[in-house]
Amino acid sequence: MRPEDSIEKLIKNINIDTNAKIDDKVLGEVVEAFEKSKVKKTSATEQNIGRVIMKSPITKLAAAVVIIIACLTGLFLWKNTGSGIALADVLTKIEQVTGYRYQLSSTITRQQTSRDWTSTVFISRDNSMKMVAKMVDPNNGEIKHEDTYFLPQQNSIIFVMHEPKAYIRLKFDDNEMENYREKYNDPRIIIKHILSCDHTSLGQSVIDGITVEGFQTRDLAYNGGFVGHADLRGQADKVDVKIWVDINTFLPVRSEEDIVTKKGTRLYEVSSDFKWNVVLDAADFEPDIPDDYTLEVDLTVPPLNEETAIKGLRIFADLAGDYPDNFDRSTINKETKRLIRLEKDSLKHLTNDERSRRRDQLVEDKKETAYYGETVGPDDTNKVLLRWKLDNGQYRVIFGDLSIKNVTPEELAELEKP
Amino acid sequence: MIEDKLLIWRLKRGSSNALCRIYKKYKGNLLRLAASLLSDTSAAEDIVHDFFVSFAQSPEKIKLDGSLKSYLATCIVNRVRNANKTRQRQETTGLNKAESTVSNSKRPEQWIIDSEQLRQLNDALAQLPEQQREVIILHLQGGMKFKAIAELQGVSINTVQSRYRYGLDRLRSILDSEVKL
Repeated sequence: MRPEDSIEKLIKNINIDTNAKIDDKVLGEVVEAFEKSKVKKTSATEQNIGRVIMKSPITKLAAAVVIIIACLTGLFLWKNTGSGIALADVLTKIEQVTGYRYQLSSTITRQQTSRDWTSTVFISRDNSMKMVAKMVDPNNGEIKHEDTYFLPQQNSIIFVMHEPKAYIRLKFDDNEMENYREKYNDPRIIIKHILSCDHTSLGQSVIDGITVEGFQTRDLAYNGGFVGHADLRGQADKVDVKIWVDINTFLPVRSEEDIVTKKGTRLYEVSSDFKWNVVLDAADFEPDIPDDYTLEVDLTVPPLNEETAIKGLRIFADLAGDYPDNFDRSTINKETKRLIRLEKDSLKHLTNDERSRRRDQLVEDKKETAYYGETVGPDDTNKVLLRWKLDNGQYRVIFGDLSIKNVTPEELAELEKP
Repeated sequence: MIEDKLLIWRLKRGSSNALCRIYKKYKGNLLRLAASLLSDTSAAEDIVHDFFVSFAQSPEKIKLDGSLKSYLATCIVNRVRNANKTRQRQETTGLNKAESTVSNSKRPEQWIIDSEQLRQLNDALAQLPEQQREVIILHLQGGMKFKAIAELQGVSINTVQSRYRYGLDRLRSILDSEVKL
């Protein structure tokens, strides 16, 4: 008799020849069943980095990675603010109020699809913020309610999503918390950004019976907060930002932002109905989370530094099999969706023009940043994955295997030789 | 492993590409597994087909504790068990007795049995007690570990290992006797 291992081998080798046509037919039926039963997708995948709804450890991980990379990108692209006179006084005045609230109306249009939402925003003196938003899902017209709590005392941001009865808690370190605050487009942030750009006076006019003075910037360098709209950052094709200030109180009465990116995404946002010196106490910013809501994500976002960025890249590579193709904000946003959707096939989306344009953008920022995620993988130990210029004239280089080294310009040229 | 987790994740997010990939990746294994357990390729095809339709209809129910391969294998085994029970009931009541005969004669052209040896093996497998056959097939064809099979069968690992060992002994014995004949 044959030895036992031969029997085992034979059993392993038993095979069945299937008919390819029948296979295709069966697969077709399976896919059809899938499509029929598919639950309507929520708009979660369209949401921003901060609002990524994460239901599995993998998504949490992905979100962490994306946040790390996005923050790192922010470092490269961050622009300093300047200073002005009249508007600077407005800023000072706002800092003196005890608390305020206002209405925010937003419309974002992407590829001829518009998404609208209205929010009531509450801001306290200690910069706690609550945003109670109502939005209309453009896919199905459903109305969704979402509350956002920005809690600097706890270094956390909490998103409460009422329809799915879920909430998300993100925790940050101090620096990251401040970065996030900059992304919330309250009047202080708008004014800061206007001050950093070329701006003009619109003269005096009357709004709701109040005499106001208007200020406007059309500077393409305007880089507003736009929380939730990472793809609005970077190069803009059109900027028209206005703010009107009460000439007596020096406090804003209305602001309008109309931004169109080079890719055609448009944000139109109006802040109005300001109520200044509103009494707001800690209880007003206590997250109102009913008992039957599920904590979907409780994520501590690691502090931004070289180490965590590299760790993020490593996790990203483990998850997605390679590094992100590109490293600017727009691409990071796409990469977020890539991780969320994990549709690798659709990733071959960037045209050569887009790629070169994005590199140009990085160069314009004069950080001499370069990222070679398209061609460099985790096995490329001696190839430059990412590099940027240091103040001492040298370059900080992260290699494909995620090792780091400072090199001289000459050494870099050698490393980057084709 | 990570690819499978990502596939499931994508599937739950509505990706039909992920579904196709899972189907193409595991369909052969599962069909082989079902056919070996049932010794009936036609019934095995039905089971795998029905399983994938059901799998596609409710991806949200998928909960992976281990590998996707083991999960799918477990689902198929459960369906095979149900099919066997149905078949036994039919045999008991005298229904479809001819149809339910353990045999590969239904569509023999589908078995890639390129030798008499494999044909004998298939017949011998069909003669094993169901639990022993299940352990052997799940371990050797399904790639499942004894621990996972033990959980599936609701017995200890030692019992599974014993069934495996006794099953192989029995197979050897059956095949030996066939050779002598």
